[in-house]
Amino acid sequence: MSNQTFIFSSVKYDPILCFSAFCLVLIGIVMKHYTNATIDDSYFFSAEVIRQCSLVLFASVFFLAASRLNYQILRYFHWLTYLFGIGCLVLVMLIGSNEFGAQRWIVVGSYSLQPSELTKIAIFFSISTLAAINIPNVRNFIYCCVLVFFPAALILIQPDLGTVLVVIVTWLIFMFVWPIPWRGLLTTFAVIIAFLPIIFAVLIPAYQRERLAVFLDPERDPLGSGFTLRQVELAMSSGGVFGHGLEKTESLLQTLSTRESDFIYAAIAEQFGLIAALLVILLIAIIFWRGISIAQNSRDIHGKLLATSLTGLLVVPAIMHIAVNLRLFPATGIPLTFVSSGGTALMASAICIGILCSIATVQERSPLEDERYPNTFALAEVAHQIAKEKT
Amino acid sequence: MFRQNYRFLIVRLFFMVLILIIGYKVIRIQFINPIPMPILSSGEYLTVIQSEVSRGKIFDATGNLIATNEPQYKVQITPAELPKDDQQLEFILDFISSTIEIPKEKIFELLENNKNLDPYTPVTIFKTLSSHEAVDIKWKTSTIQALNVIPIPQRIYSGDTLYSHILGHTGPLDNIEMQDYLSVGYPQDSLVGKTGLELIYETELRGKPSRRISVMSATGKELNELVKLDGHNGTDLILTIDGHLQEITQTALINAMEDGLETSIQNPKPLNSAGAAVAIDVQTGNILAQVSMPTFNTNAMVSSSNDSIDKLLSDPLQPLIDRTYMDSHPPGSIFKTLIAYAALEEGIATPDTKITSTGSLTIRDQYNPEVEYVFRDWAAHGTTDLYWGLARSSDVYFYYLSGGFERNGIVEFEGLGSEKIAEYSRHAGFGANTGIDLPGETSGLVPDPTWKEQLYGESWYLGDTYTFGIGQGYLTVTPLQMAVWTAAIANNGKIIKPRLVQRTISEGISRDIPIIIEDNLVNKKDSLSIVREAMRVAAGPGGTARGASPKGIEIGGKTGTAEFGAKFEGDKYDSHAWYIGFAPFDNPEIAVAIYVKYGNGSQQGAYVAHEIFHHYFQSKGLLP
Repeated sequence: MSNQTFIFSSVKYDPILCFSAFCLVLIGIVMKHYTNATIDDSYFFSAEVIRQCSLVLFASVFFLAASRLNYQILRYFHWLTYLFGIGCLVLVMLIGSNEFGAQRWIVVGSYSLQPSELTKIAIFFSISTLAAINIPNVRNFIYCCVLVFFPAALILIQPDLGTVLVVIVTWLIFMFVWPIPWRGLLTTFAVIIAFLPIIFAVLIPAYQRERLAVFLDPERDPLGSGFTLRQVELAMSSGGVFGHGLEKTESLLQTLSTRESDFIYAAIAEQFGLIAALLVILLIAIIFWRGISIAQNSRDIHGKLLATSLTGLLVVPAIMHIAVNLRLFPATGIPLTFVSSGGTALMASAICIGILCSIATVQERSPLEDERYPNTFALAEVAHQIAKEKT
Repeated sequence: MFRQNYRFLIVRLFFMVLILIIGYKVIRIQFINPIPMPILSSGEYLTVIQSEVSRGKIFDATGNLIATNEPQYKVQITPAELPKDDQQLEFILDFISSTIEIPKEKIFELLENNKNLDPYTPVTIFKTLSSHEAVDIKWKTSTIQALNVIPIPQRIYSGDTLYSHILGHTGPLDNIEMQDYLSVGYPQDSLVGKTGLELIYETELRGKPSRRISVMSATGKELNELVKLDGHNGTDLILTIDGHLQEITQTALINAMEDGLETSIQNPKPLNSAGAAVAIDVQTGNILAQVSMPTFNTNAMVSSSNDSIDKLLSDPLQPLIDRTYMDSHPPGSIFKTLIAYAALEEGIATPDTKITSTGSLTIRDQYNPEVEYVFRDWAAHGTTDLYWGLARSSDVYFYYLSGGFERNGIVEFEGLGSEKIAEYSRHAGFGANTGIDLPGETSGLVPDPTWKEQLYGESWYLGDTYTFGIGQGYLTVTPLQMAVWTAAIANNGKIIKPRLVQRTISEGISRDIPIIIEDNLVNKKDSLSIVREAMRVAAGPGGTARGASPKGIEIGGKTGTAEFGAKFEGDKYDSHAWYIGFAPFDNPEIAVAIYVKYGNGSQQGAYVAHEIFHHYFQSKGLLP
């Protein structure tokens, strides 16, 4: 049977999903041109644009590789991937470079790697494997919590609040789909809310608290981030419905050092107007819809959970990024998936799409896949039945 | 699996609602309800302008201005507005270079260096013009769009060398700081605090630049302001330093250093000395005077070229080091105050404990009784009690208190032991930073057996305890730590965090910086008052520290003369002069700690302390 092969000879590339991701990548390349001020503007292929193109090519290789790997066999090694993910974080703590007051990057030559991006995937690969062969009872639930919160804490002390939020939201979706009973979910929520003030007081760096304060009360503004929010809003307003068009004009975001990453959505809206802004949202909605469809159509629980969490990892940061740009969420410094993410993040997103395609391939090709793992999955099914009856 | 499908449906619905919310919000901002935009005619554009505000001023405790701003001017070129045509460019650059008298190559170089930046970011090509020159150049070049003459605030410090170490200086961003400062909104050509208070209080002193979004004309003139973020000027700092006392202290220290060179037994005599003096308010931790010598001219650091700064950096006298808190030395006999306190508190000694000094203490090697070690005293003091032991600074007395004495296997006197001394030292603030609001503090070193074992792989000997007990050997302290300890003796045990800034004034609102008491020393047996009494005896007739007493005011004092460096003929060493003291005795207000590289405590040290005390009480009207 095909699912016994480790590497697929042909893959079912979900055309709508792949095309949407590709469009976002393309927008990212175009925006590199508009957000980078160089002396000579008439020339499109500036160093920054070429760099972005090369990153995209690099990421495509990872996409193709990930799509051909059979995740079902790979899951026997989920401990290895998990340890690799933790190892990455530890490595950052040891040899990471300290930029903007955060230790998130490992510098290799002129590129800096952000390993927490890969850790995110490793975490969910691991817990979806465990969740697939275990019933969602309290013990397994706590087990999964530990597996998620340990790396999340490591990321939080970097500090990279944005990534932690993405992991936690994705984890909540994961728990919801597993499915943890409602009572369990409510308890989890209650615990999180109870611990929130402690986490806030102890672990969140001062600048982050200040950002939150500015979000709640824009008049406060010690470093001018309230002004930044107004600046972003004004930039978007000036874009109007059609934007400034193809001509490169003076941007109101010019003074923001993070306009290329944290405020790319506003830059798109300023340059190309409401049309482009809505297009980006539409593309993200499509990726989300297709991702969940792949999850739902997958015949094994592992595939369902993995596809759901990967979709979460792609879509949650994107929605958070846009929400930050629209003043719906406090500034956390999250890049827009595919468009403004750095090299490692782009690579990680490509891997996510690749694995989603791989899941789609398995579901297509092996309607009887449960035979492959009769014991574990039969057990899990029975467990589900029991759990269902109990409730 | 029905249940999971229904969960999936909820997830889908939830996310679609989120997506609809953000979609609606975008439509609202960009279409339904945008911020009203001015109608821009051709060539006009919107831009964000950030204008820096004037940096906070610094005053001394008596209200004298000691650091302020004086505008100077810089010439900037906006690359985007230079003509694209080579010939025209050549012509304009020629004109600029001849007007402001800098070579054209230099301008080219600067423009080339900044090529990768936004072409609308002006490049500074010349700095520090006086206002007269600025007007002149502005007038001559008024036809050149790309050229601007812009005022920049420049730091001016009063009392050229008087506050150099304390105030520090400002300078342009360097590569290491660049990223950090840019990420919190500093423009690339900012001046930031580099050392001293300028660095520690950078955020306060900088203030908040105002920012606005404006409509600009095609020629770069500001037409209309849309959004404005008000800034405010930098916060003013009110120091605890008394300018006049600072001056007196500096003069006295210079004299003492010069005088002290004579005491050196080097041949030829050394040419340069170094010194430090700290005067501190014993109740508040306010530093009234803090002088380190040699010093340098702060104004030169701000305005002059890199060469002269490099020269200061490579100067063998190391004038940039503040010897009050960045450098530590063995304290010598002034440390006996701490031994006395610890011994009293531990019940090792009482004020009546009598010990005889015959001029030296001899102990036998614990493994080989044939070998004898002799620990010298600086004089044969005969039998003294604790008061006179401290007043005459009897070494043997403190050998007993610290290490005890044992003869033929019989313990004749139980000492504190190294561990206890180290423990009391650490409580008194030695071996740790005092937490003063200045950068680069050193903690000094409090040794103990574990430390020695780890560093040298040797065990701790009784002799180490003896030298520890008289403030020699491995122990090093900073003059500032000594001042804090002396203040603690005077205020009955409060270790107060020393501070240089007592108040800040921002937008007319004055804010007092709180007094921080770091620790309260154990004083169950009222040991500190006995130490104070002993220091009074020391500073009285017949005591070693009498030289610092101003006429008519009773003080407490203690001298130290700590050997250092290489051994010279006849087992002699050069010595540091130390002095600690507090005054007035009955109700102490001020404590001092003096360090002079070459000298001895009862002369050079006492002299500086005397000058400080004398002036302090004179300005209070208590002395003529």
